[in-house]
Amino acid sequence: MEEQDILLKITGILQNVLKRHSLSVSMATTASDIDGWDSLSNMMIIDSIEKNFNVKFKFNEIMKFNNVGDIVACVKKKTS
Amino acid sequence: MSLTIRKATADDKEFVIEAIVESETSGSDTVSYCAIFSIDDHTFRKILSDIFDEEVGGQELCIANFLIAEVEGERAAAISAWIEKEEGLASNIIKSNLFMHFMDRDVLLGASANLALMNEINIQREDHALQIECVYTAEKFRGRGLVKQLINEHIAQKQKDGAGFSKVQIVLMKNNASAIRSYEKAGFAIVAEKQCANDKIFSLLGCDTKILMEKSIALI
Repeated sequence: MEEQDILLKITGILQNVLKRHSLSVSMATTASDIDGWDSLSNMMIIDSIEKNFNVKFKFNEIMKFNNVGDIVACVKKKTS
Repeated sequence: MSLTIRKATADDKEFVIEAIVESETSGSDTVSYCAIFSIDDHTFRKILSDIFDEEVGGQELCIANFLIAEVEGERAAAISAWIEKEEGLASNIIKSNLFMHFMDRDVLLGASANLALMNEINIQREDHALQIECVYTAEKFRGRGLVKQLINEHIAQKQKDGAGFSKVQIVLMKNNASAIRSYEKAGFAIVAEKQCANDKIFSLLGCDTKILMEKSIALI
């Protein structure tokens, strides 16, 4: 799956979890950049990404997610 | 009184777990985490033990972030401290990742409504400020100023490490009057408070308002 396609799908997940349907997300976006991306929504976002892409992140992978680009790269690696 | 303040090691894990359980019980009869996630004390202690074995910095649940005060060779008090975002991620996100990994996913997601209440009362920590958490003194050692000495030692050690912070912050419940008095005596002042409108918060935390106390430190 291409990175842009993964980003598009993750953007949809973020819009859905955060209930902000016009939210714009890039590879450089971090949790701090988005109002409402708190500890609870973080769990729901990770859980939703895992279910949507049918992947399971390892703990040391999640701890390296500094921005959306890191999540996209990890999903791409796991789905290729 | 022979007092030693030292960094915690793996041998202190049980004492540190006790410190967390006790500090999370202040103001109510239940441990807040147990109420939030509907888990028992034994399960919570097992989760803490697993989290501590992982040694993840940037938040309070890390043995390396604890200082222990020993009186006459006996563990008497403990406090955790870290510089917010020193690991790049906010401490609440790191903790959220830890609980995701070590807690049953269904249990975690089943607590969503409670976690949403917790977020209503959450006070944002300032990036690069020194955070103080999990403050605990064993009952027979209270009233000896151990907390103040532990906080001062955390500040001194972080300054020696070149952390470059100018604020120390503590988040606590507003009904913890004795703690508030202690921190005020140590130079902290209340700078923010947040109240939850939903009374259910009382069953989780024993109080509906969190406060942020802060102390300025000369930048070294």
